[in-house]
Amino acid sequence: MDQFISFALQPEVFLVWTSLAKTLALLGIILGFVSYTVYAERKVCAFIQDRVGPNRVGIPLTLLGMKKDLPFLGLGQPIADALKLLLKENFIPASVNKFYYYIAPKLTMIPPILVLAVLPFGSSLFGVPMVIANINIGVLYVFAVSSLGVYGIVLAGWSSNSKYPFLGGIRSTSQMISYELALGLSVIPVFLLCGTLNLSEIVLWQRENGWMVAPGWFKGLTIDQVLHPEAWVAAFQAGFSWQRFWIWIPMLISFVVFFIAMFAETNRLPFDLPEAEQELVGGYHTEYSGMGFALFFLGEYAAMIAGSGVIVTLFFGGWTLPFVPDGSSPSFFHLAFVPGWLASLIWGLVNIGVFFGKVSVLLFVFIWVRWTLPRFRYDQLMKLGWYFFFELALVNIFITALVLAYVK
Amino acid sequence: MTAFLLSPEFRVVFLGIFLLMLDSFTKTDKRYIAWAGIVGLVILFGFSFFPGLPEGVFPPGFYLSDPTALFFKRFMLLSTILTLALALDYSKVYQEYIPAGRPGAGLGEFYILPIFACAGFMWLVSAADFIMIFVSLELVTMCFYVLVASMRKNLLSLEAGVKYLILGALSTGFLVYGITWVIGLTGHTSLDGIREVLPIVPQGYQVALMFGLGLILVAVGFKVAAVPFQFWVPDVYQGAPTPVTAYLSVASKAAGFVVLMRVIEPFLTVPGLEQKIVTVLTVLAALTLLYGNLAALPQTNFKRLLAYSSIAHAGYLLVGVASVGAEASGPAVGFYLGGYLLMTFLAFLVLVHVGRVTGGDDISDFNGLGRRSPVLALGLLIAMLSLAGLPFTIGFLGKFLIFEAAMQSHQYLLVVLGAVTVACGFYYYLKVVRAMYWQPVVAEAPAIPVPVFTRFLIALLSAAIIIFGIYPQPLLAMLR
Amino acid sequence: MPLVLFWIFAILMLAFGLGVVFLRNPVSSALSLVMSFVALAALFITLDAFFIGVIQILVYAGAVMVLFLFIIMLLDLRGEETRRLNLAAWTGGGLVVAGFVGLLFKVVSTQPGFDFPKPPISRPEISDVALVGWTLFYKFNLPFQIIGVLLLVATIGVVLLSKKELK
Repeated sequence: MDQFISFALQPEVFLVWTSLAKTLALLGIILGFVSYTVYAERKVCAFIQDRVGPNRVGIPLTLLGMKKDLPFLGLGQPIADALKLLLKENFIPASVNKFYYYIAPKLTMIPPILVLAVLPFGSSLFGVPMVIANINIGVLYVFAVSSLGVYGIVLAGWSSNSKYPFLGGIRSTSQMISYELALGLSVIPVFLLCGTLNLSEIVLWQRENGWMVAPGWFKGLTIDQVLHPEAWVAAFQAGFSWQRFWIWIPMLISFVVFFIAMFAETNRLPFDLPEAEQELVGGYHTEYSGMGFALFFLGEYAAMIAGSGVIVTLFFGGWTLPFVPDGSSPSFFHLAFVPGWLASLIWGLVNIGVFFGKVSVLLFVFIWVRWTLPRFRYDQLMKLGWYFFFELALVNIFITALVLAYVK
Repeated sequence: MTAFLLSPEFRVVFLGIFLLMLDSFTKTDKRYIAWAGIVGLVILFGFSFFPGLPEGVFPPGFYLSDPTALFFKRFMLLSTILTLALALDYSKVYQEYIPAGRPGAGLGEFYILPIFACAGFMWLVSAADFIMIFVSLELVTMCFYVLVASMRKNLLSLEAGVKYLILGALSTGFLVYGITWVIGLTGHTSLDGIREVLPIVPQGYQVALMFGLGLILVAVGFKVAAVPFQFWVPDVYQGAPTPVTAYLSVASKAAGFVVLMRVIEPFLTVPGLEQKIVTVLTVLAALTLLYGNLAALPQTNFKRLLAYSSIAHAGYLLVGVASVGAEASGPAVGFYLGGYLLMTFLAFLVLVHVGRVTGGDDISDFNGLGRRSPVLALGLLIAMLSLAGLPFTIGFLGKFLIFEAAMQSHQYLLVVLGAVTVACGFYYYLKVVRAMYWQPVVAEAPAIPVPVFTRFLIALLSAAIIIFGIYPQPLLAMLR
Repeated sequence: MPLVLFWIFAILMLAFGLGVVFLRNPVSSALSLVMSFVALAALFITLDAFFIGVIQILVYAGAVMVLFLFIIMLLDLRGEETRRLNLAAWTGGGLVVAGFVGLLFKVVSTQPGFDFPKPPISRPEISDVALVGWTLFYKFNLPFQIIGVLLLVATIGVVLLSKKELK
């Protein structure tokens, strides 16, 4: 046993099994997240349209002979959905190109999951940093991997050998390529500011200097002081500076461009032209059924979650929480009776929770936008991308450079 | 930094950008853009006679400003000026073949792209680093890809564009692969660094070094149209707009030879490699001489004839390059190229005007030109005689210097082959002369009006061909 | 371990490279090229050149090849699959390739460099992104600016060659 433990604690071996554990845990969380985002989508949609939404599927107590089911707000709905999709017939039309038809849904599902590998989703647990691969080019990796996502959609459209899917595939290719430019260019100001491409370091930078989307920062304000208003003012004065304020302007532009481009990249309304129901039936996945369709569906939501994760990491301070001096330090508990290791464990879990909480809020915004805004026309979409966002992102780089030259 | 930006190449680039702006923000006749370009380049040509940049402006090992580089910079400026002059006269024909939404559309780019190519050429002849060579070569090639294919409603032009693109990309592949081998073996990208390292490179590396150099030679062979890498030449020359053909055959070839001589120079210092390189060059030169001259014999299209003649001239130039060890080989090649510029542009200038009126570029279109337009006929006569190598023309003197260098380095075989093929050349060049003076005029063929500026250029080029043919010292002084 | 990875990715890259040439369906050829690029990127990453590897994927696999695929799909090159092979062209091409590979083999086999151990490449202090930037903007500044001119020319060329009606 001791031998085993010492083997497991060798640096390389330790790295391998902790990475594996993190990967499995994150995958589990994300898949759960995906199914419950679908549920949230239906619930929020129902709320916005003044309906009830799914509210039946809960714990089926009647099967056990009881009088009533326990609906739990319909929280069991995703399980029922998944079962339905798994059991449905996987119908393959006659004239499709079988190989690509089969492989396309997998290709849309893989990239968003690969993106998760570099997102720091927490500070650390037991001294293990909560990021699967802490590489120094994190953001570029995100773009590189997510740029591969378009192949699944394009191949689905082409291999279906049918006109609506083909149109959907073509639309999505041109849309994703157009908005990828704005997406990539809009984060360059962030790198200019932080001087690093490493996502963990960007998060740490934001813990020190404030979130990218915040004009000032309550530096040094801790939860202990929250009850004292004069501490607020002091902390605000300590954290605020005009430099920070000037930098805030290009960062805000960056954020807006990035956020909107992310809608286009994930094919969400108001940019969901590739699957515009009224024009293209279902777009690129018209000819799919059963699990193939489900993978597209899940791929879209996984991309949404990964995208939200990237936005949170880049602009909303990642796993950090405002008013907390240092997430991993036990300062909050220093009066209490809890031992240090427990405090750091709790903090680690809190940070993970904070990250996913922020992601959930963003997901809600994604859904909210979908059910409130109308869809763009195709030429409007292209014009907006090329004439406005591309230029804005480009100009913003110069603005940032100027501001930084002025400030530094 | 300002000195950096005021280097001759950047001035040319700024001229190009300025003209682009002029082109986008004005809607009048586009021909004045060509005029502005010509004037600008003439001014820059004048600047080149004043002391240039102070040393050390560019990082060492990248950029050379030796007499050869300076000579070829002037060469490139001059050929760009002449190309623009040709383009002016060619505008009418060009416009017929572009899908223009309104008159004059697309012409601006046709005048401006050669200016950017000129900047690339000037960087190329100053390049002393493989990265520089590659980058500026790509800049030039990119301009030519566009220019060759730009007459989009002409199928020949499109065909030429596609052929040039595919073979250009292929040769770029060879170039990059060869460069990779050389850099990998020597650890240097700059030719200076390579020259220093080569003596201590182990003997066993030489096969690999020769392999890398061979790949580079293949790529350069494509650019200078050496046999067996010449097969793109006739089609591309025929299909491209005539000014572009002239530019391609003069400037591109000259740049290729400058690069060739610069690249092989460090390798010639290694005893084991020298003999191999000379053998390769000799074989290339002999093949090019034979193929270019023999294949030109049956041609009936004037542009194709000039294409094969361009291959043949590449052969003579390769003889000069292969005359390793002869002191005069470098200046001989430079002088030959200078003469080649004058006579080729003269021939193309006449062709543009004849083609504009007759609508074709076959040799039969030149029938009776002696009576229809004595000025053009005289100009073409001088060009053809000089291309053939008649004494008292610059073409003769160029060949003479090349053969002299070859004799010095004991390349007797090449000298004999050269002499035989010169005789061959007389036949096909004089075929054009025969058409002009001894063939009857086609009844309905109109007289050809020649603008004043063109008359001036024809007179200038003809005079230069004859004057430098008798009194070559100023040119040679520039090269030494 | 890196050696194993090298062989895996090198073989993958070459296999997909052959696929580009030999597959009859243009879409399959294009996708083989994508896979070949991805394997190449993996090779870069085994050499610790993360930045170049990722840029390889981002630019070539993620952008250039998507456009390629786009064009291939729009052209609908179905005839390509049924086209008869030109025997003479294949023999000629095969001979050239065989000659080239033979030459390469000869060069590599006479290479003494593989026999002795080389000193390890010193690890630079700064990250590879900064190193690439440093090399581009300081050491190779002049070629970098020439590339700028090249891109300008390419842009003009694209407009000139592809616009339906020039204005």
